[in-house]
Amino acid sequence: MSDEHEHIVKSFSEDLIKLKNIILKMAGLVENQLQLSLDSILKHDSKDCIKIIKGDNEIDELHISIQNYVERIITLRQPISLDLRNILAAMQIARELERVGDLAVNIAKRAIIITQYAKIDKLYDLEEYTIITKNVLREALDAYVENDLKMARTVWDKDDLIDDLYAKIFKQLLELMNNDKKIATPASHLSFAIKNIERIGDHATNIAEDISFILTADRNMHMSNKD
Amino acid sequence: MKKNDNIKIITKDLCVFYGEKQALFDVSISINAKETTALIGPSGCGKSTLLRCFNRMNDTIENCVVKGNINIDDANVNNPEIDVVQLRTKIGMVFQKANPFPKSIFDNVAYGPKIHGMANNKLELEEIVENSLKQAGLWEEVKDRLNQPGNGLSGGQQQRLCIARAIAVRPEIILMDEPCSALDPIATANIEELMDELKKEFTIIIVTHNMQQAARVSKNTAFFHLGKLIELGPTDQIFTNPKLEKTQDYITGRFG
Repeated sequence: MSDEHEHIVKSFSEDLIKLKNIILKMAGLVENQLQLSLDSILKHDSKDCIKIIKGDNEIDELHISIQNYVERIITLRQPISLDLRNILAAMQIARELERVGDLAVNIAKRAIIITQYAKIDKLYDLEEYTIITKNVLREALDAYVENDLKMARTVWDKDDLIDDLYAKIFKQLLELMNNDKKIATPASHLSFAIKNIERIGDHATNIAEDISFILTADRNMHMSNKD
Repeated sequence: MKKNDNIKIITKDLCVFYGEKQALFDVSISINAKETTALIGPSGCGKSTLLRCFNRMNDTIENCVVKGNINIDDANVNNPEIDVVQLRTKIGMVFQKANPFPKSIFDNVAYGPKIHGMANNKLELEEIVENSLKQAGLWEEVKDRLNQPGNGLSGGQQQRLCIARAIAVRPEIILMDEPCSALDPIATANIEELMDELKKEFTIIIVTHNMQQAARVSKNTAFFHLGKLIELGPTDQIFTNPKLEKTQDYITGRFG
């Protein structure tokens, strides 16, 4: 597409680059928060949890600055077509990232409680589940940076995998609780945490749909890109 | 080919030359009746030249040669036998700069109907003038000063006066060549609102450099570049997801 073509008004192109850069800064913070919160669960260690909870403020502030910047660009440039989709999608992606940031905080809050109990073993798929979810978010952001529809499509396809793993781990957790009622409290909190992780997959999927919207003017990946 | 009853104007392989210089290259375009079509493109792309072909305004330019076909309804506009005066009755035109006659508001609107013998008496003429001014959204502002000079009105009012003058002879087509480029935003909004009403009755073709205006007022948009028709399509599609990169580059301000 003509995204690489410069606007005649160079400052407009610079606005779009700056907007993307703020989003990528926000994405970096969110990914870091997510990594720390997932580690807290996997390593059964709450040392970073308070840091994660406090770290959300910076993400929220970036989200607000993105909204303000988008308002400014729309007012000054009156973008249309590809530019408008880019800007609308940027706002949407920032919203998805803000939600992922909140979910990382939720996971951290659960981890604080979970780590007060003995570690629940035998959840053999948990680590793979966290890695896949983290990677899917990373791939969604890479696809955004690269304007890569094919990669966005891969992200979109992987959501089923995350959903299946969630169902599997949830079932394992219920079985463990049935077998040992004493783990009910940490297992309940863990079940909320794994649901949070599943939601992160949904946000990555939404980002993939935003990329499709930018590049094809169609959010519907079911229809437009299924082979 | 299946005849589309809704087509008002159709051109085929239209070429226009100003002396040695070719201004339009093989333009084949169809314009629907009672819809607004926007012609967009950078300066010198040929959009105004095309507009001026429809009412044979190019005849007034000495070294201008027009080749190819233009049909309005079923009549060939370029037929030398055609009555150009009659043709222009059918096609009103509004220009970038409002150009009222140095006459009263009333006479500006009455001039056309008078010379074409459209009114049998004074009362009928007054009726035409009133209806035209009403349709142009100007009546309430001028009804108490119809005898005052037309060029004493504000820019936006003058432009609406010119539209009233154009529609007074009951044309079928209205050509608008950047009708709002000299107007403030309020006067522009008035003209756009008016266009929304007029399209129910007239076929409107507007040349505009304002992308948002083209997107707002038209149903179809044609993008021209260097004398060629690059893309023609529904306005919604042209301004959201044009088929060609060149169109995308132009509408998003990347043309260089």
